Amino acid sequence: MPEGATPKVMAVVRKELIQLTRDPRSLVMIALIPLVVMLLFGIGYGGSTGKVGIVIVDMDGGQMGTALVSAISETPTVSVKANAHSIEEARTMVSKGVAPAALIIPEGFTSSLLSGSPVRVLVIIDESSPTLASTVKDSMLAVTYNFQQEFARQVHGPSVELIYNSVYGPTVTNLEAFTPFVIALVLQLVPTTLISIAICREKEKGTFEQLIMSPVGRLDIIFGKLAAYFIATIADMLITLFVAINVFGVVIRGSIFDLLLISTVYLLGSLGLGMLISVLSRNQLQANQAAIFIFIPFLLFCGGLAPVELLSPQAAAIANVNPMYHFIMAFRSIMIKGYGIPQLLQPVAALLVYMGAMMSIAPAILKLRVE
Amino acid sequence: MEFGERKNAVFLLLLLIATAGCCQGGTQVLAAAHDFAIKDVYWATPSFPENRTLVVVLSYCGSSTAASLNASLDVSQISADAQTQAVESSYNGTLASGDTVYLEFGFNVSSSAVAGSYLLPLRVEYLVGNTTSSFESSVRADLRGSPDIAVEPLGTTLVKGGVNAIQILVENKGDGLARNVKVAVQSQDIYLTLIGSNRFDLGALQPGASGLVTLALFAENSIGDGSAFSVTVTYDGEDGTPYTRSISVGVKAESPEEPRLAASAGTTELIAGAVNNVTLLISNNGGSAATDITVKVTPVSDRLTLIGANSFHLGDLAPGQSTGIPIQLYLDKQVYGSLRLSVSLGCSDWRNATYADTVSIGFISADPPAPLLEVSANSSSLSPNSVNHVTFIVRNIGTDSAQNVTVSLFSQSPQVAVVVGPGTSSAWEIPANGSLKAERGIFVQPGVFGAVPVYVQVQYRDRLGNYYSYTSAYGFSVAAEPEVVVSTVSTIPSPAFPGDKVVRVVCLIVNSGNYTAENVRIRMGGIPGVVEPSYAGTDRFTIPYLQVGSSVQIQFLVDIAGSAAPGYYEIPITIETASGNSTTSIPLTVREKAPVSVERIYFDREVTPGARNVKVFVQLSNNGSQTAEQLRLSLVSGYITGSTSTLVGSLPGNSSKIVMMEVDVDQKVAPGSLGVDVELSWVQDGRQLSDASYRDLPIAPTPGISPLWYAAVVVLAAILAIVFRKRLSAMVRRQ
Repeated sequence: MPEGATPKVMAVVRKELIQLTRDPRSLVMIALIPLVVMLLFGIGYGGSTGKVGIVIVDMDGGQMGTALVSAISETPTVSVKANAHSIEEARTMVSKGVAPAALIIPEGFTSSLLSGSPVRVLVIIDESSPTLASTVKDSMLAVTYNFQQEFARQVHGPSVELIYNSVYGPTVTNLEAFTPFVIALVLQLVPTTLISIAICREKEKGTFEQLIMSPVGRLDIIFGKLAAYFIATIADMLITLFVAINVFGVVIRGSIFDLLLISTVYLLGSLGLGMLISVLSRNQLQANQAAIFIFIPFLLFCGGLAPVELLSPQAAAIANVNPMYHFIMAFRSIMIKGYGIPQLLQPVAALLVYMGAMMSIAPAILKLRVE
Repeated sequence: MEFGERKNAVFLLLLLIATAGCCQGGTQVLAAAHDFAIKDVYWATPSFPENRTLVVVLSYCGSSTAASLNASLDVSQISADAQTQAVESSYNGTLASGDTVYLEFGFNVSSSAVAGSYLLPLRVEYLVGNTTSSFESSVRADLRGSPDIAVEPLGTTLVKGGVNAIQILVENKGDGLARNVKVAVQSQDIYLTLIGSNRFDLGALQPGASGLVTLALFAENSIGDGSAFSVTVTYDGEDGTPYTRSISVGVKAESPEEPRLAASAGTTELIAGAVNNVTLLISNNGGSAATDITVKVTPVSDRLTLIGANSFHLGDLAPGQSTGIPIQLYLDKQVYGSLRLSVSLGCSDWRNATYADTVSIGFISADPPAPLLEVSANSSSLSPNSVNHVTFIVRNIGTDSAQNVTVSLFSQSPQVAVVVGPGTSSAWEIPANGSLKAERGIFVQPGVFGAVPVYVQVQYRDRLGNYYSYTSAYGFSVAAEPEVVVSTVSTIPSPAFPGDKVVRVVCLIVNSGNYTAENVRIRMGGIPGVVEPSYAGTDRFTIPYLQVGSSVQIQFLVDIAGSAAPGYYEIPITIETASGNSTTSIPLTVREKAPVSVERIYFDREVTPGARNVKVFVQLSNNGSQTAEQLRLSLVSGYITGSTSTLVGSLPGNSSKIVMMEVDVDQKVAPGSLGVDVELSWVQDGRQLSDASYRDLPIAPTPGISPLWYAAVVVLAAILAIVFRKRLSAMVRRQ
């Protein structure tokens, strides 16, 4: 370092810190980001974990079947969510997403075990979520292992074989499982950041006032900006999807139109959110920090990093008000399960609410500011 | 001149006279001349040393005077020097008739020259006038010898304890006279004594003569096996020279032959309870006569008694002789084992030495004649569930009669056999080789087989009042008939279905007869079209041994034809035993098998290699009346993965189901058809049944590059051209 450099650097540091303290909003966000992130992470991932509820079909009704159901209930990761009466009913429930898996205890389960004959237990698994499917498989293996250990004292060499039947499978690659999450990131982070920073930049440069003074209506300005960034972001989403399908072999079972539809809804909501951030931010830095600040809870409770079923109840409750979670659910159901919009009323409704709220609040506030 | 010399001179003189006579007769002087006569010849030195001088005295009897005498004497016979053949002597004077001249010849006499007379040629030359004359003759020179006494014992063996005569031979082996020969004997052993004088005078012994000296030597008993005494002989030579010769004579001392008495008995067995006459045999096995023999007999055991005197005097026994002594011995009753008789023997020998010895004679006690009863029966087999009449024969095979005989028959196991009626028979006496017959009835209980013992107790006495009793088992074989039947039948697996292979038909075979069944051969007959043996040998069994009431499990392996109609069947069974053949049957129920089949299998869409998330639909049907429970469907192929196995549940009769399974198709599968093994397994009547079939699924060829790719490339190029349109135009203008 050349002589006299230290005082100069220190002068720059001093200047930047002073400038940072003169922007209380940025200062608050800098201080709050780590606190909020750690708090949210602790709520979602640090507490008690949730159990995966499965469907039970006990066609045996005997002592051993009941014991196996009890053993399932005692595991820390799986619980009995519902009972069915036939294999077809259980398969339907899994297909409809009532539960990610179903366990079918066949007729003669007890008598076969007591006579020393091997028995086979059918497990129907929803493979659309590989993490959940893997969790269920591991749990079933543990349950049957403990069950055989427990009853080895009563029955000589009980042999319980698990037969897995898939729904929406038989295999879903990790890339397929993460594609909805990647699309959600694109549709959330990109538009929010772009539009908020763009508006704040114009506000900082004063070009926004010039635009207002031009013979363009306020709504024209607002919706023009929205349309521009909508086109850019939806193009990003389509490129991403195109590469996933044609380069990595991702299988799309549902309708592309449905995917575009829910993506449009979610994208509009994200643009509205970005517009709202720009209204509340005085400069680009604040807009950027706010976008990141808001993105973090969206990310943690969207079910992309870990299935919401495996998180704590509090995290599940937060996820239910997280539009990103509903978007991923809907996108995954269309893409992997082949669902249509009619089968996704709940997440689509949640997305519409989100979009409606953002698109009504943000332009309104922005219009007031402009006026 | 000493006495000896004079004696010699006299001897020579006499010899000269004889020579003169001979000279006249021409016998002694070989070349007598008229002029000289040998008057005397003598040794001037009569004894040694060897250098001696012989003097020849000549008398001149010639008529003329002789002078210059030169004499030569040939001494080669006795000269010590081999080169000295003759010695010379001379006389230079004159001799007149009647004169005597002494001629001395000196020379060394050989030490090896033996005694005797030697004629030495003599030649004398002399002058008579001027004429040389000679005179030749022989002179006799005598050489005297020396005596040599040899001593030789004529015996070298002595007998201990007695006087022994030993002769000593004394012989003069020299060439001179031995005079005053005296022999002195001296013992060199304190146990060897010379009886009488130890000196003997033998007088003179001419050369070659000998004399005997007889010695009386007493050798004591304690003398060693070898001893010696010395013999000293002193004598004088003819010339009075004294000689002494001493020798030591070694002798061998031998013990004298002794008498050796031995005693033995004429028998080795003594009968208990009786007087036994025994002859004691006394023999002299020694080399000397035994005299004054005494014998004393003493029984060692107090159960053995000698009847009569126990001391005997037998006189003398020469070597090798023997004599017998009759004695009587009584052995108490019921004495068993060995007994000894002590015999003390005493005698003397010819030396009056006494000898004593004690001999022990052993005996073995022997039983007296006794009865011995043996029991036999006229039959060895019985029949169960009936009274068998058996005759028992009690035979006396002993050497004496049996008295007060009682024979009892009984059975110790009434549940097996019972002796019917009184079981005891008696007889006052059964003589030796006699017998007693008793007929009894024996009832054998039903179901008994094998061998049954009946016990026989025999009691009797002998003449001496001894009591005998023994019990023995008499075994009978019990023969019966076996009866082999099939007790229970079961099949594994159960129930049986058409098409089952290697079904085990397990039968429990029981012998319900009264006797062991041996070599039982069981053969199962098949039912054509329904039941056949699985493979050769699975339809027959041989049971080598099957006891009464016991069972054995056998199993046949059969195949049930797939076309067999459900129903009840009876499989014929043939049982062959030694007593005959029998035929029975075993039941077999064949149930109806649910005919579960795959009606149709298809994909939900056109499938290409590498297709994922493909749904396979399988339509199953059950056209029978039975329900297939726990139906399981599996698709087996190396080219499909995913849900290839599923539980279908129950499939009732006359129903069908469509099962959907999700699979991925491998990228490497060849377009065309994909072969899939469809396996079905289900439970029916508790049995696990299965079926399999092979189906083909269509695989379409892989399509080419999607048109979307081309469209995407065109769109991307268009977008880039629009975006960079102005910049590209500016670059073109600058250029």
